[in-house]
Amino acid sequence: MTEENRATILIVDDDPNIRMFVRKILEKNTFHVYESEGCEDAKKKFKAVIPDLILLDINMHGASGFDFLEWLKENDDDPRCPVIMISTDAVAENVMKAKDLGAVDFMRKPLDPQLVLKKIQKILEKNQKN
Amino acid sequence: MSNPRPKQDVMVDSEFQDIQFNQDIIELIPDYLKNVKNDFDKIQNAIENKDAVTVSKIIHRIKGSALTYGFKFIDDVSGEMQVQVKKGEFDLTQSLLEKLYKYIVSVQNQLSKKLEIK
Repeated sequence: MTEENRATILIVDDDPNIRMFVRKILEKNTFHVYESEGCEDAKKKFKAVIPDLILLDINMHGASGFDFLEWLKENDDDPRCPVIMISTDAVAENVMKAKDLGAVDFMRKPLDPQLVLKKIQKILEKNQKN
Repeated sequence: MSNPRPKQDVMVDSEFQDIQFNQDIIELIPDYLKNVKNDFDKIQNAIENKDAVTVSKIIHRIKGSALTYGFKFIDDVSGEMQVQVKKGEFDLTQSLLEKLYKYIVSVQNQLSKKLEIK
């Protein structure tokens, strides 16, 4: 992947440790990474950088990841930016709700670096083909 | 004060010796530990105010990244804190916070030595 077509990922999580971890994995693999610690900032970053994919936590201070998904539904063009939800609460109810609101995948914390990369690459490849 | 703050000069407990670090992310661990420690004052204040909601929120976050960085002990103790604070057991929650603090100090000391050797 050349410098010009490096994919841009937005990570939205109120835990600085998760953001730091994901940034490290992704930058090591040539992705551009932007961070937000909450939904309001994520909305601004989304409009400013137009990411290729979003990694989104559910439980954050203030608005939740679900609130952001609802906002995205109203504010993103079709096809929508793919969103992977990340959470410690990978209960069926949350997984179903995330998918209903348009998330393309769900990852349980603790995050496995190889799995994070694999899922992101797979989704981006699929989107390129479409 | 019935619930003393964890002391900054806490002794390293021998039960925390020989902690293994994930070599792939070892350079991130000092910042990780610093971020966790930064939350301790907030948890302490919340315990003193018997604010279970705030304690739970912060602990949830700490627990959420502990295993990502390979710290099962932090995951276990923060999980126990969630249980105790939910039951309104603030004294027990305080004891667990101090246990966690001791552990973090121990990890920081061991990590410093390892990074110095490198």
